[in-house]
Amino acid sequence: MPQARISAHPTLHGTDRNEPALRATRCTACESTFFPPLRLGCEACGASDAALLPVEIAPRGVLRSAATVHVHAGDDIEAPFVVGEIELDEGPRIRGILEDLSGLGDVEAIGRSVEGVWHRCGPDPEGNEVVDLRFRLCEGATS
Amino acid sequence: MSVSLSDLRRVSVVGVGLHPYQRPSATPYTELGVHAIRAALRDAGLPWSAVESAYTGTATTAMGLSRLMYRHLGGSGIPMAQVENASASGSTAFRHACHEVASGLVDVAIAVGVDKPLVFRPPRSAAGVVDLVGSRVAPFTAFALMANRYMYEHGATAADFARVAVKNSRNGALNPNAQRRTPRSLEDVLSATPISGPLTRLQCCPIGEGAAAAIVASDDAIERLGLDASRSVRVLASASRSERMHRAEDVDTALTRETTRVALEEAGVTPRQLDVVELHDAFTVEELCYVEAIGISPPGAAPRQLAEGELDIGGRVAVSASGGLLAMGHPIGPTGVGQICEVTTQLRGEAGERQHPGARVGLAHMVGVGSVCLVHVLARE
Ligand SMILES: [Zn+2]
Repeated sequence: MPQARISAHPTLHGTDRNEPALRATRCTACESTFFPPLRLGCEACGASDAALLPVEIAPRGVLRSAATVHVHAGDDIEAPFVVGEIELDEGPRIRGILEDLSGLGDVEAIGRSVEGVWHRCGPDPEGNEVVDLRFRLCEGATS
Repeated sequence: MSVSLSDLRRVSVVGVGLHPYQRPSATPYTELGVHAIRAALRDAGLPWSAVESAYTGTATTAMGLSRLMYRHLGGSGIPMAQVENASASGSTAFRHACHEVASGLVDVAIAVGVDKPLVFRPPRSAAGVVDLVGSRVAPFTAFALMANRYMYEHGATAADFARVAVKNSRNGALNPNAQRRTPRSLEDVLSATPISGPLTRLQCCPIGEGAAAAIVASDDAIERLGLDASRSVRVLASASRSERMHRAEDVDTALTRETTRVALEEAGVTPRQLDVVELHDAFTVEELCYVEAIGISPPGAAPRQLAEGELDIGGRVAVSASGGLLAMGHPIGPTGVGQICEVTTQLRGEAGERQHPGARVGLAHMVGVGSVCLVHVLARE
């Protein structure tokens, strides 16, 4: 029996569709887009909650920086791993875990296009597949 | 109409004192603080009874901690309050002490920084902000990303960052109040335990405990109390800004550029006129980014100028003559006040082995989680 795919962070990414997507916020007053999603008021223009709409955005963008981490306080990942700072095509600058850099060094990978992929965290007690969103370099793409 | 510090009456630093920064110990914060306060009073030649207002920069120790410390000087009933602004807590306490004197509300005020690394509670968790990386990105990784971006933009190398730690360890070795007093070679720094990106353990500041105190006074008070005017150091400017949405560059670099511009303009000083600069070098990369943002080095030129000794004691401008956060240490609350102590000591020509010759104008800079930025400009007249 096929089991469901469950998001490890339902407020950050949905699993309704096959393609990974980020849950973001768009301000209808100033058109700014925010990730993680923003409530209470717009950081760019101060518009109230009423102006803030939930939207789904593509986890695609350009790698602004990357760093191989040796020391951290997370309990769900083994060091070393790579953290990327990503300028999303939709505007926000975010940080995410990079699956691998295809043999490139941290600095060599900067400027490359990246896209979100589902990372399988393992099954939950009901046998559903828990997924987190990570990033990888787009094939052959440079910016 | 709003005014700036330079429109108000003159305010000067008349006394400074420190408790050495050190690894966490059983010493109570009260003992750290009282040691620094007594040193500052002695330095100024003032009795505690002359101090009319107290601001305590502190972030990681305990709530409402001021009175249990100040009572040991003799409870005088003066107003006192804690000022919490993350790493910039001490700088912010100093700013408010300066404002109170400059505005004419009091003649003598003290800014004290004191902390023990007991309680760290990041605001993002209290605000319920969740992101994709969580605790997998510590502050040093945020700055490792800054470092690799700098390498990408300017062709810098790992050794360029390491040289900041080499210089600041050399300065710290000359500072009896520094937590790290061992001079390190380039090889030592590069081969230390890797932490994140190009940053090794010796490129990350130690968080320990300590205290720092700075007494500020009006010209009236200097005359009335018979203080040594020749040793007073004038506060020319105090600027404080907070993060806005920056798309183009690194947040802390942009904030440093903006805040420094406000402070230098208020002081009527150009970056070229700075003799001594204490800045927030919690991680080596920050010194390179911030000396460029302050305008001491052109974009991308900081590594070369550092390597050529321009930022050394005795160079064009002494950056982190105290050893900076990297070597003197970063006990949080005390750090910003400790910078004022170092700049004051340098401008008085009393820094001994680590004296930068001819120091006349100094700048102190801190950023704090949030982000916030504080910049003060001081001068010997
Ligand atoms: Zn808006």
